[in-house]
Amino acid sequence: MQVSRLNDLHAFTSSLPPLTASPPPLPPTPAATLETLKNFHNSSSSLSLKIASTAEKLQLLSSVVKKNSIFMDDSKKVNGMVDEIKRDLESIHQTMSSLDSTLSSARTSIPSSTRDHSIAILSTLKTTVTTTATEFKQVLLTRSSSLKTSSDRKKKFGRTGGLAERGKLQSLKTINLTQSTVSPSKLGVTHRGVGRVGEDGLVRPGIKSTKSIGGADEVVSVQYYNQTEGGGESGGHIMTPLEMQVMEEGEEQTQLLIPSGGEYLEQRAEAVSQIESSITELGGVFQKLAVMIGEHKELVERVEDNVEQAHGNVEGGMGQLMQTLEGLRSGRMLGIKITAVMVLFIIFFITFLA
Amino acid sequence: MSTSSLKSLQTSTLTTLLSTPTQPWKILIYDPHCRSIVSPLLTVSGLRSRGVTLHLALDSNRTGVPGVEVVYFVEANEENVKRIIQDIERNLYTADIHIFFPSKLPRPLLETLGRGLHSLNAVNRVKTLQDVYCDFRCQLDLFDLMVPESFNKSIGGTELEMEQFCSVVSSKLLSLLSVLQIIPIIRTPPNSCSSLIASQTSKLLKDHPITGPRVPLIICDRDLYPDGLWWHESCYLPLLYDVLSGSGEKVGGVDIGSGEFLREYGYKSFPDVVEGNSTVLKGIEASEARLRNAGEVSDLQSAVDDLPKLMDKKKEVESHTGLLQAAMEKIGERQIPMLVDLESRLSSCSDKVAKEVTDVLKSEEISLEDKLRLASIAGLHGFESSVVSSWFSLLPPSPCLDFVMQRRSLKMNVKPSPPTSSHGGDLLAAAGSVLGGVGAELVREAGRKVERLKGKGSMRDLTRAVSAVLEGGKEDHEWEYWDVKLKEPRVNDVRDRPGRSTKGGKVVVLMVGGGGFGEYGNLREGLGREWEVIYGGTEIKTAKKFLNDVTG
Repeated sequence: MQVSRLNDLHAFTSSLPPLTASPPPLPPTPAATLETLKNFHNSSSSLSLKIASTAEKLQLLSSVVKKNSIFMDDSKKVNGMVDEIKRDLESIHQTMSSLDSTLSSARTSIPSSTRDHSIAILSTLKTTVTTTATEFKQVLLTRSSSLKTSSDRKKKFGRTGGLAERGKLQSLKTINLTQSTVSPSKLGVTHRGVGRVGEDGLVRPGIKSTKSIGGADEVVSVQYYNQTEGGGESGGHIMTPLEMQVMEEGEEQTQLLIPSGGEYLEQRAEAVSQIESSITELGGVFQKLAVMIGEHKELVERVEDNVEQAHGNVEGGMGQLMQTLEGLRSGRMLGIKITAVMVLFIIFFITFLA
Repeated sequence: MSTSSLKSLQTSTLTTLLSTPTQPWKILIYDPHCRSIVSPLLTVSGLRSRGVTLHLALDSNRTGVPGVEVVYFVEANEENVKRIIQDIERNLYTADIHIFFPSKLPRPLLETLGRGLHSLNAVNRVKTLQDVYCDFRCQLDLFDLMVPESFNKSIGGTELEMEQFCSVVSSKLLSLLSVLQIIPIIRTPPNSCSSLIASQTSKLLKDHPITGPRVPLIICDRDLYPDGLWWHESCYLPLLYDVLSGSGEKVGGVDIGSGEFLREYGYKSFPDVVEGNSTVLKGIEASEARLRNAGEVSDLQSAVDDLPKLMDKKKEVESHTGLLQAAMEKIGERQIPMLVDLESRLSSCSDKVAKEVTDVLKSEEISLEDKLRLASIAGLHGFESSVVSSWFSLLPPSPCLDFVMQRRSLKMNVKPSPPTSSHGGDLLAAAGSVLGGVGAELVREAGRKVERLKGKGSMRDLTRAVSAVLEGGKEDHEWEYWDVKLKEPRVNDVRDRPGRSTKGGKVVVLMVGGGGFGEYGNLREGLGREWEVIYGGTEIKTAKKFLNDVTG
């Protein structure tokens, strides 16, 4: 329940007589402070805008990367985006360090609260940047890992197509074909898809596609066979026409997406090396950021009165010490007085009674 | 859990307050009172994420920040109002000013503020002036109305002082109800300080209507149930507060403010917690090892996501391991398991138990504080008066014992209730063997000492009374009934009270004179799962503090 009392206040103040004397002028704020603060606010707000736009770009990139985690058909586009974001992050970082240095150079000229306020803003921005950068790194990692997987697969299935082996595969295929009851016409359909990458995500357990790209004409054999260890449906499982069709469709998609083998591989290698280099570069940025963030460890703390308690304790201790000192002093004074009186008495005795 | 929702409701109140300014960045200025409201709910980073760059104490020596909006969150008193006017006079903050009070700003203070602003021609600088009605703080699961010395205020003083005390408590109670968004059906013991509070609260609720479901609110007096804070506890959290010095969210210097472990194990018996701690820790370590050894790419991805969370959790559980170890040492030292066991058998009132109490009171090893607690609780049970006097003569004379004697004579006029349930002390022979899991020899050693802690506490007087009120027992007929929806809120005739429609639901319990974690634990356990208990007091205190209060 929040009850506004502003109307009560206004009703009351309007009932007051108008001011006879103009109120004392408010103490002006030093112009230098205002100027510094204004600059700071301007650049920090532009910075936060920049961070927001970078985050947006990053989101786009991450969606693109996720969509194409296996078929890097628009790797050029992705690379462009990565570059852009990297540049953005770098420029954000630069702006921030310049803001940092402005703040530290203006240390003496602006009051402490203002400085603390600005530092707080900056550190919040830094945290945001760090999260953004972390996300960026994540995206890059995802991309590189997906690239790696596909290149691994490539190695596994890609270069096995020696002539001798091809013969072996052919024979295997025939064996398998004799096992299957698929009609020849269906088989023909299947063979249209031959020679393409089988790694389309439609490769299901129990079906293994083997492919070899052997030379320019890409003569490849794909064979479907049932793994005996493939669980309940093992052994005499026969592929249904539907399954075949699905597979074939998948392969046709692949066909559309992938350029011819050599070029594709080169592109991929390039992309991988690019990503690796950008990760290394990012590493540097991160280190700098880590240093910045390290200065703001207090973020998890509670708003507690520990500091003030400690302060109070110290003050109390001081008071005690002062009291003790006072006591000592008065004790000493007393001692001196008593001694003086004694001395006087002795002198008195000596001079008058002796 | 129930009161985590209390916490989240209070947090969202504070968040709306902080999101009033139009600029993204603002400065929060509070006084010690309001800081204690904010501090359990928001950490520094929490404030940051809500755009608060600086949080400053009103009475500190502040320098200005031009051009930044400022949020004042201070108690409504004259000094604070004057401070705010001073700030405006010094022109510390040149942008808009937002002022929030946790309770109602009295008219004279509003006028002081108005005059001050008017003379500076700054009335229009104040963009917000609000009574927020959130004048209580959350202490873990409990609410704390922050009325210092409430016990002595609730039992003594002149009529005027009593009136004042009750109006303070009822205005804070209004805050609690408005944050919880419930309309209470108030039940209080007859002719007590609580019933005064109930009548004032009903009046306040007429002026400040709240919308929401109807929930029973039980207001009860500490001096009617003084034993509640003195029992030795076997549950984890109450035990922690008893043996380690703790206040607010910190126990033994460790911040236990939030976390799943506490939520799950806070009110379980100590050996269970030790066991739970080790299994949770093992589980975490296992999944950590699995993540670290992850070879697959997909696993790697999840490892990157999960590992930090896991590490946080591990850190939390490990901090509890530390607390457990520290607590066990003290528990062994003070022989708390023996005391818990003995106290749980008091309700039988047998000669054997009386003899054991005598032995403990004679023993050199038990501290005077623990002896006083035991003697006081035992004195309130149905033992023969001669036995009780012989116990009390074993202890040095204390106003506390006189107080207990007085309470006893009042209570014994009423027929003592039959013992409700006994404990299951030997349930836990097995617990000791499990303790080894934590690994530390120390823990195992002390674990043997706390084996007996597993005894299931019996229903104490307050819990029994509350459950009787809720479920139509003896107290239901005797206690006063206040329904704020009626024209005449106090319902005298039992027949005019509407019948209970449901068993279970929410129930709010307020202890006038101070509440404690142990009492909450017993209420939770005693009322069972169907009741969601929201418990608190005019202050939250330990047994020791309450002994001091009674001793005067």
